[in-house]
Amino acid sequence: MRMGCLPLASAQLGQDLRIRSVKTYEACHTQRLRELGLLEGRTVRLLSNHDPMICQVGECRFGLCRRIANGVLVEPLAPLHSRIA
Amino acid sequence: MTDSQAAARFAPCHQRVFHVAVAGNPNCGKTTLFNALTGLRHKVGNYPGVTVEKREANLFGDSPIRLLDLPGIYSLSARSPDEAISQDILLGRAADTPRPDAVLLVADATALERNLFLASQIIELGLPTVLACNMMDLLKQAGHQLDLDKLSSRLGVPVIPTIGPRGQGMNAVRESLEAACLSDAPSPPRRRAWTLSESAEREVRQIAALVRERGYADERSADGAALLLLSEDSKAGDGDPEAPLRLAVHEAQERLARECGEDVTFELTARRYAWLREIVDDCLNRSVEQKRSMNDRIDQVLTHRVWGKLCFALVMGALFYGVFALAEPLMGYIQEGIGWLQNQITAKVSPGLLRDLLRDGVVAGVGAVVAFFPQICILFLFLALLEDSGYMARAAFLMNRLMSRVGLHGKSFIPLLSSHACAIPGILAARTIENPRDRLTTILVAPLMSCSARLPVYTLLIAAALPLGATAKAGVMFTMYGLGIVTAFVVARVLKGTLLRGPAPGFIIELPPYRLPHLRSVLWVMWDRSKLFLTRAGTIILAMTILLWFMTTFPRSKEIAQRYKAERERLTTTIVDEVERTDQLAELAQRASADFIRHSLAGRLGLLMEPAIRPLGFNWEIGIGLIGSFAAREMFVSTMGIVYSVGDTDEVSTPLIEQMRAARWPDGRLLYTPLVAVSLMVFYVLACQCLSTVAVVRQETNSWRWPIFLIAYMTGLAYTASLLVYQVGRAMGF
Repeated sequence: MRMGCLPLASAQLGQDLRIRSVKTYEACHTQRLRELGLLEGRTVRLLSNHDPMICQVGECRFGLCRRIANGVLVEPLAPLHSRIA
Repeated sequence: MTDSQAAARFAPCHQRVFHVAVAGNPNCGKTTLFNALTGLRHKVGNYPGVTVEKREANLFGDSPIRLLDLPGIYSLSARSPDEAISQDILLGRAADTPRPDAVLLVADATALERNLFLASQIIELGLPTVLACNMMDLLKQAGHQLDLDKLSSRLGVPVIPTIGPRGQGMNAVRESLEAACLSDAPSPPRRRAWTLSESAEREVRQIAALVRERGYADERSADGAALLLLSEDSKAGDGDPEAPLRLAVHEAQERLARECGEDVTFELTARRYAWLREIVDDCLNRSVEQKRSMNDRIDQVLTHRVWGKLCFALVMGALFYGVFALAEPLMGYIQEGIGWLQNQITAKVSPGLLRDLLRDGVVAGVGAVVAFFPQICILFLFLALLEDSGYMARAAFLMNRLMSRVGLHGKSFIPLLSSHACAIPGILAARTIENPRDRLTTILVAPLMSCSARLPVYTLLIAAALPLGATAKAGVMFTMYGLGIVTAFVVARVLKGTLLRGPAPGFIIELPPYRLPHLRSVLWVMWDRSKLFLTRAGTIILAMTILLWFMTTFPRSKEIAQRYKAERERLTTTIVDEVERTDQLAELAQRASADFIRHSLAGRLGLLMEPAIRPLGFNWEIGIGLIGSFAAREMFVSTMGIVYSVGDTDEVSTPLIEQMRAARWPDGRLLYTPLVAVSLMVFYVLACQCLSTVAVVRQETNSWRWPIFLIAYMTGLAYTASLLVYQVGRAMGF
């Protein structure tokens, strides 16, 4: 795993994340995710982290089961404004 | 162009019909657009022996263009059967469908980039193509601006703005399609506007050359077809005629993987998307303001682990209650109408066989089925609302966890839910499932869902044998549906653990934005599907009804006729009290009618069956119903209509329910006790009694093995379950 990368399932809710790598346990799911726009370099946001989870890519929203979401590695984008509680 | 000008242009080639395929992503408004472009005149095509949804229709106006609705897909790479079907049709490789002359692409303008992924794959196949940019109103609402001219020039195809539900842009689409079909000069092969790495381009060229050589695709689509082949799994199945081509593709994929260290499918997808992003950035002026909050808030509730499931239960409850309670008054009117018609026939047609055939065969049989039309309409209305609002995907999402426990996944939910309308579209909807084992499991359990043809059977039995209030009746109905669902889960679990063992499938589903359902398009979809029920009533049910009437009427025993005639004369002359005489005569008529049916062909068949079904609490009359049901389940209702009205000498026909309540065993016991009704309903929940379903399973699995397995396991299950219900119920004193 690259530095600073974490599986989509473990990312923080509502944060903008960059997809670093897509590799699920079955090649057909990897290809399907990419065709839907969950592609390396894209920005994704996690909306719900249950199983299945919900994420938003561009205008589209997808539900993914945890096993597949674990194959999507992301890194947090530098926040535009830091939220300090 | 006016209609007359168009007609003049088409005059020289008037004989010719142009086929146009309509393609697009799921949830892009394709169905609504298709309906708006064709009106309600389309036919659900008949494949030999079965009715399978292959929607084809002529374009509105006097146009020689015939539209063919392709399944909604995200990509043309053939990884699931619906993608494979679309690809085969577009490449002209489908056996039963001619290659389209042109393609109408439908894209959701609010999710343009993803929609253009499929669109660009199809454009690269080189057919004349028109792109309908749909949902332009929603794009405008969000404050975005799309430069359509620029988009058109970048993609190299005409782009038409449309708003499906309002029918806006339909004339422009028609003109564009007509122009595309009529352009005489064959367009030169379009050059792909984006490129791959040098080594990948080399492989694409080689595959494209092989594709042309082998006649897999023509000159124009060779490049596009090569790209698709390279992005697919290249393992050739047994007896695949394209095995040499697949092998070449496989070798190319291996070479590229060695060279670049990365799967070629990644390069193909990433480069295409990079190009599309650049186009969309160029053409779309995005508003900075983001207005998604409403959608988010709804989603937070409806996909919530607790609230979401509660809402789901409420929605399903409303559906069943609606089907039962809302339809009742309407059904009453139809039944009254049927009674009136029968009385009219009695009054106008002279007594004889023709009158009996019309009144007791055709009207009683077909009428009994048509009476359930309001229920069917309400069921389809609910399903259309769920689909149109975007809730259906959420329901699948919520059900995923439950489904994955039995080895299925959320995607199986939609086929299973559609099967509540009819197993055939349900089984076809399973085409979206990629994994063959999961798909087969879904297909094999889908017929256990209580389809709309069972609805009349349940309703009739509940009304005739269970003295309950409206809510309790809906509860019984709910239980029957529940029984089907639970059995399907258990069977799926068993299948996935034995015959179709495999890992729990992965789940990816798009959750489209919520949209206020558009009344007209919802009603369209409802009518479109309910129509099939009426068509069935007018064709197969009518034909079977007539056949069944003959079988219950002939051979007509002279001996019985004479015996009852003598008896009737005796009663008429000996009993003085008028009330008593009428009663006795009515009772005699009933015995006569039962005796006539008993000696008819159907009666003999039923009696032959009786020993086998008696342990379930069924008599020979129900046996006739069971035989009739093998053509279509709702024939049970129709058969009962005939069985209890043939030989009916009453001048005014009594409603079917009353006649069933009066039915008795020879020893005077009530036939339709609550226990028998439940046993019979359980039988109908579980039994495989639909020839069309068997034929579709045969077609979809491409073997006789699975349909035979389906009949065997379902019928075995039905018999055993009914036996248990009846015998245990008896032992408990019901």
